[in-house]
Amino acid sequence: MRPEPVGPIDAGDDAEMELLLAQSARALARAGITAEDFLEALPAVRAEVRREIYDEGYLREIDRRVAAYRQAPAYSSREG
Amino acid sequence: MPDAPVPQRLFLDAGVLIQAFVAEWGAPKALLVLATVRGSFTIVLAHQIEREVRRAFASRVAIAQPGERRTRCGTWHRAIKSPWRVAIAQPGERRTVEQRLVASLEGWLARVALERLAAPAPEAVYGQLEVILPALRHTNDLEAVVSAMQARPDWVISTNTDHWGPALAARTGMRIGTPIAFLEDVARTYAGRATN
Repeated sequence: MRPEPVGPIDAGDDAEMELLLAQSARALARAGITAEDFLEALPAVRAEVRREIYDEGYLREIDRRVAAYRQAPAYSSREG
Repeated sequence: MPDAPVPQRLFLDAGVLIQAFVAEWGAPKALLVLATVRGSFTIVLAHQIEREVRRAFASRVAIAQPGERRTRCGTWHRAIKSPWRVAIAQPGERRTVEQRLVASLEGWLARVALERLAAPAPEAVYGQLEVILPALRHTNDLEAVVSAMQARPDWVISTNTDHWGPALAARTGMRIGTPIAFLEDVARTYAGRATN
């Protein structure tokens, strides 16, 4: 169900958000961590989260179906 | 009286959120701010994507713990061998940085119109394989793509154009774009309304 639309944020709310965002960006800059550092880690994080959410049987079945699809002649001709 | 505009539903990939919160400037951050106008936008957030962002924040802010400074060589050695490139900072700073990132994320989530999606059931994923596989670059993205397809958002916004590209858009019928493409579209829409 879609949430009820409400009005725009007020000035006080905006200032608080600005502070939150600025603080985290400054803290990261001090620690020498960049967005690229996080993005590089993302594929490994995604794989880890996948393993937490789904059971091994599902992950094995997906791998099997993906491998079967990629080994099929139709896939090879599309890729070639 | 004209009808109230229907909010655009925006499905965000993890990279957009990470860049928005980590970088000091850029289109993802602009999108984040724009999305707080709740009458105009609804954020569609898949369970697994939110979890990835929170995990990435926690994992990447892996900084030397108090006490580890005494074995700094060991810490450095582990850092180099670790799949996570560990940033070395003052002991105790890890918690602060991580807390601020999480506070930013939660503060933002509290300010947007939010539609949360459960991770897709295995049967739903199996059912979409034939549609998705010809355009899928990496199996790990499969469930995120199925989540987006189930949500049928107005936009799927990702910074990863290799994984979320035109081929996937064509196969799934979804409007997929980068934060810049989305902002350009908003600007065009606004300019169109201003001149009419």
